[in-house]
Amino acid sequence: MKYTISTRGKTFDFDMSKRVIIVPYSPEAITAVRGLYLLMRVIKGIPRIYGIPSGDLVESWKKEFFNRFLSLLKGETEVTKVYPQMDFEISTESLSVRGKIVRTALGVEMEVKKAPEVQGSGPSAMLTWTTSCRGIC
Amino acid sequence: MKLNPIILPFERVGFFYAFGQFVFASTEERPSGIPKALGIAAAMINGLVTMGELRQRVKGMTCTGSPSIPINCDEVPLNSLTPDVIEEIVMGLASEIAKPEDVVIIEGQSC
Repeated sequence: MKYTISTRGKTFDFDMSKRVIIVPYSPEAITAVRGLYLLMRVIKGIPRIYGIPSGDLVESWKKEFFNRFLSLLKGETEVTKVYPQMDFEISTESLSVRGKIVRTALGVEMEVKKAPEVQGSGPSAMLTWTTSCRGIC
Repeated sequence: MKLNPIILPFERVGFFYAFGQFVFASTEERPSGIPKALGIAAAMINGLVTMGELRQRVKGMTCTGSPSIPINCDEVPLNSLTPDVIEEIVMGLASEIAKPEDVVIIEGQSC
C-alpha cells in the first residue's frame, strides 16, 4: 500500500511495505505526515462491507466503499475543524483512491485497477482479488 | 492487513504534560482518553492509552503512574519534570504500546 501526498508543491511518498520511512524536516512535511495519519485512520475505519444489493456487484461495492471513505474522512475532519490542504493518492495493486482537500471541501475519486472475481451469486456472493491482499492491504 | 497509526507530534511534551494522566485506561470514575475535538492532542493521547501502569527508569529516576497514582519520577510530580524526561517517558510508552501492525509516526527536527 502506497500513500502519495502533495502539499504546497512538494510531493511525499510513503511506501507502507518499508519498515522505516524518514522524511526530511520541512513545514510541508508536517502537513503531509498529519495528512497521512488522517488517511490511515480513515482506511482503518472502513469495515468489511456486507449486504450489497444485487446488480453489478463490483460497481455497487465501489459505490459503497466510496461513500464509507468520504463519510469517514468528513467525520475525522469535521470534529476537529482541521483540514490539511493536500492532494493525496492511496494505491494498492488492485485499487487506487485519489482525492483533494481544498479549504473545507473534500473531493474523492476511486478506481478499481484490477477487477475482482465474483464468487457465488445472490446474497451470499463474495468479491475476491486473486492476490493475497483483499482490496486494501 | 490494516495498519493502525500512532502519532507523536512535535508538541508531544506539552500535550503529555497537560493530558498525561488520561493515558490510563478507563475506570468507573474516569473515561479513557480525551475528547476528539482537541485534534492532534487527542490523536496522540488516545493512541497511547494503556491498560497497565507506567513504570520506567528514565535518567536514573524511577517513573511511576497508574489510574490512582499521578505520574511522578522519584516523587517529583509531572508538572515539575524537565522536557527531556517527559520526552523519554512518551517515547518509552509508545514503544511499549506499539504492536506489530502499528505504525508510529514520530515528528522531529534532527534526523
